[in-house]
Amino acid sequence: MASKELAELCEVILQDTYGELASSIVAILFAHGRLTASQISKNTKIPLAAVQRTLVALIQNRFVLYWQDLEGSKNVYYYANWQQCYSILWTGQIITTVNKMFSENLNTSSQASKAAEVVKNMHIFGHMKVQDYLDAHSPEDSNEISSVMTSLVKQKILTPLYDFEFHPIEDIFGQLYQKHYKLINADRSGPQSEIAKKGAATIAAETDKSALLTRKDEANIGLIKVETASKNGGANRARKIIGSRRNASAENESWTVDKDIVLSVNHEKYLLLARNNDLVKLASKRVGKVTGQVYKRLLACYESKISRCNQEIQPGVDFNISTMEVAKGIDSQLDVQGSIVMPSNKRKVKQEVDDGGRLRKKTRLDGDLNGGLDDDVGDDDDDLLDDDDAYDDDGHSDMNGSTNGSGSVNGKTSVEATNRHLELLADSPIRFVRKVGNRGGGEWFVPFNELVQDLKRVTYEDIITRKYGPVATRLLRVIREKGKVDEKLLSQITLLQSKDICSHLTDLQGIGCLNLQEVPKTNDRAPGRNFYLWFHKPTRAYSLLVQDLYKTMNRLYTRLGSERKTSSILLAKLEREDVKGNEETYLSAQEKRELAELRRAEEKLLVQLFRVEGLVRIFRDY
Amino acid sequence: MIKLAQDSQGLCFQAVSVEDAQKVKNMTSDEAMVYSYIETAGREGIWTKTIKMRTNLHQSIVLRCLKSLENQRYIKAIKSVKYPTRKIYMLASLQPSVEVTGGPWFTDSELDSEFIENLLNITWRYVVSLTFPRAFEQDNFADKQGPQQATYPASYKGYPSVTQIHKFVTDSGITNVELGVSDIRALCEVLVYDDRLERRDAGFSYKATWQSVVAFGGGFEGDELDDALDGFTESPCGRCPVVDHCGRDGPVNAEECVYYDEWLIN
Repeated sequence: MASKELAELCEVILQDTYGELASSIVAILFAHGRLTASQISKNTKIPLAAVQRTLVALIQNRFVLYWQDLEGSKNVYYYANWQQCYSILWTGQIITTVNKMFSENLNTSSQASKAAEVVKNMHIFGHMKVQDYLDAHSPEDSNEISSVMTSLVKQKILTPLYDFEFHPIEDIFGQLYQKHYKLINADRSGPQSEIAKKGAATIAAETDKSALLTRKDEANIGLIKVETASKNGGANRARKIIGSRRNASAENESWTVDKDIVLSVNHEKYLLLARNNDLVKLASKRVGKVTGQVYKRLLACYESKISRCNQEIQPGVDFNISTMEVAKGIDSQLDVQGSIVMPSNKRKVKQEVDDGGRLRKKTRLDGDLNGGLDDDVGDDDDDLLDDDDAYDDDGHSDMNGSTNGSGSVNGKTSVEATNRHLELLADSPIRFVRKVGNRGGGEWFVPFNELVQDLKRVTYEDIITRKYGPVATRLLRVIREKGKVDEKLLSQITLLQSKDICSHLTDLQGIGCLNLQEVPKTNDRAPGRNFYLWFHKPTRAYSLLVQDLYKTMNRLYTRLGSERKTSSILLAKLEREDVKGNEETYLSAQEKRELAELRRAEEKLLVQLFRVEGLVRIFRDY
Repeated sequence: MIKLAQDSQGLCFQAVSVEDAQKVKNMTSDEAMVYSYIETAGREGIWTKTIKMRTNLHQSIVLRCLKSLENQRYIKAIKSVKYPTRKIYMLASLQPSVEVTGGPWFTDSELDSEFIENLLNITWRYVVSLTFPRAFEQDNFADKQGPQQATYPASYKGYPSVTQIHKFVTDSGITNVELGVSDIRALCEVLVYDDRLERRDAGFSYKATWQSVVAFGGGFEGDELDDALDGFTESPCGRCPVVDHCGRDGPVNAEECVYYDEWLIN
């Protein structure tokens, strides 16, 4: 069930993109939960025929889901689907991403624009059968489109759409549960007690449900082998797909898109790409830009391995990435080696030895760097960028020697240097990556679930810092680390006066970031004799923030609409056939100014909207 | 010339120096009684109310005694950090204890935030110098040929320990306040909570964070100063004072919002 803020936001989005009628129907569904068509008509005072017509369009785009109660009333109920409504906001970004992806991968520009067009049309129509789409184009075009579609499906940007995705998942579960319950009830040898029966039915239904959902994650779903396609058509497709999964690794086989399936845009894939982007940004900020680029390569290796953000993955053969794999794809322009400075500077070493704890420090240094340190001191002329010699002296790996021998260009992206960057990432308190083995120059695993928690935490702290200043964030960090803290201790740890702390604490409490617990010392619960303990509950704090973000997006979007409304006469004029394309001649200077002003405001509002949206993604979808 | 004292084995007598005896001799009996309580309180000091309670004297008498003792410079009034409103007395010859003054962070029984801030910055700078090579040298690469990143490898062991930082701070002569290792650790912990330092080796040593360097104007070409606001805080709603009253048809709404007017113009 969507919250009030989210429902209002979806309404505003739909109103802008699909009109008043669609938005008012969805609004009623948000407000009342599930309704039948006639109930919708009654509530909105819109004629039933119009409601039904609109519902068709809404269902096509899956803004509304439906469910027929087969047991009792045979009524068809409609549900508002906020996920799909919200994802309208991603349209632009997905199209841009696709365009960029195709341009980068050495495809022709016509292919890139075709790919973007296919994705755009998929957004407009919600979903479409491949054959129908191809039929709508000329035969010359359709060949290219089909190859573009094949690669889109391969990359999981488009994904087959199944019947069950038009129904609310809870109802599907309910149905499965009823089915299993009846079976178990009929089975005399099965469990006897009511609780055991229910438990068994729930487990069976859960398995069925997840089987249904994982169908979409199969490697080559929606694709068929070229030769089988020509021989058998798509007749026994299912068997082929299952068979092909066994040798899915044989990538040289050519696949083509199955023309009989229905495709739609896969938002999960977009979220994965967006998450990778945000993580790279975080790594660049926390560790360094070059390391960020190395991390980008590492995350890119995961693109084909995981199909949704909340997928549970464990370290293992499937999800470990070797350094070799990462190093392969690194841009040769990137100064991977030079960006790591070996601590071989004479001054530094001396300082080290001079300072406290000297002996132990010194021996540790020597032990770790294989004594390469002392060798370097002589030939290092402060030109730390160019210390290839130093690396050879280190004698860390055999790999290094060979890459250096083959040419300095290759040497720059050597496995050794890549490893150093990955080690830096693993060393960070943010759990970017974990080292899990040594094969292939080192094996790495990205613990996404924990990492996303860190990302949320850091983003949240950023917001708090920007809004309430560094002191508030200092307090928040202390409270999170210590659990429940009273003001006296806070003042002691943060070295701040308690009168400075108070106002910050109440600010943070106001937005739900902190909560206060009272523990009475005496029976009379006198306020003066209470302990007041502050604590921070991330889930609550984040979800409240997300509501605020929805509200902000809603206001931005509403304002956009109202800006357009105030200039509606001008906009109407722009729509006129004779004015289109001849704006220069038909518009007065005053109108041109107004138009420029409007476009500026629109741009500002939209940019802001998408920036806020980026935050919502972090807290809700990753 | 002799006073009662107590040790672990029981009551015993202690000789009193001639000067002290002389002092007490010249006092009235009330004064002597008040003086003896203040003396036993030692470096902690004693609250006037406690004196009154213990001596069972009238308020005005106690006050008169305190006044005369203070005038003869036998005792002095001090301020306690814990109870800033209480009037506390102790012998003039003694220094108030850490409990009373609040330690090195307090000047005139107030937390000296400026002093702390300075020390934080100095400590942080020192750790940065040992964490990153060339953190604040981007000006040397004005021709934009500078490196994109310069970091020590993960195996680097040169991060300073608390003792090292302590030595640096005391040797540098920045302050004449006596700072213990634990005080320096407290400073470092504050920096950790400010996300400017990270703990290493379970708190044995500290490492500066890269984003704090960038935030303070360090870093290299392209490490943009990240002082831009995030999307939420920058939008008018993110810092709207009446956001809770904002509704579609309410008195405050997006269409007529003055904050938006202002924001869109800028």
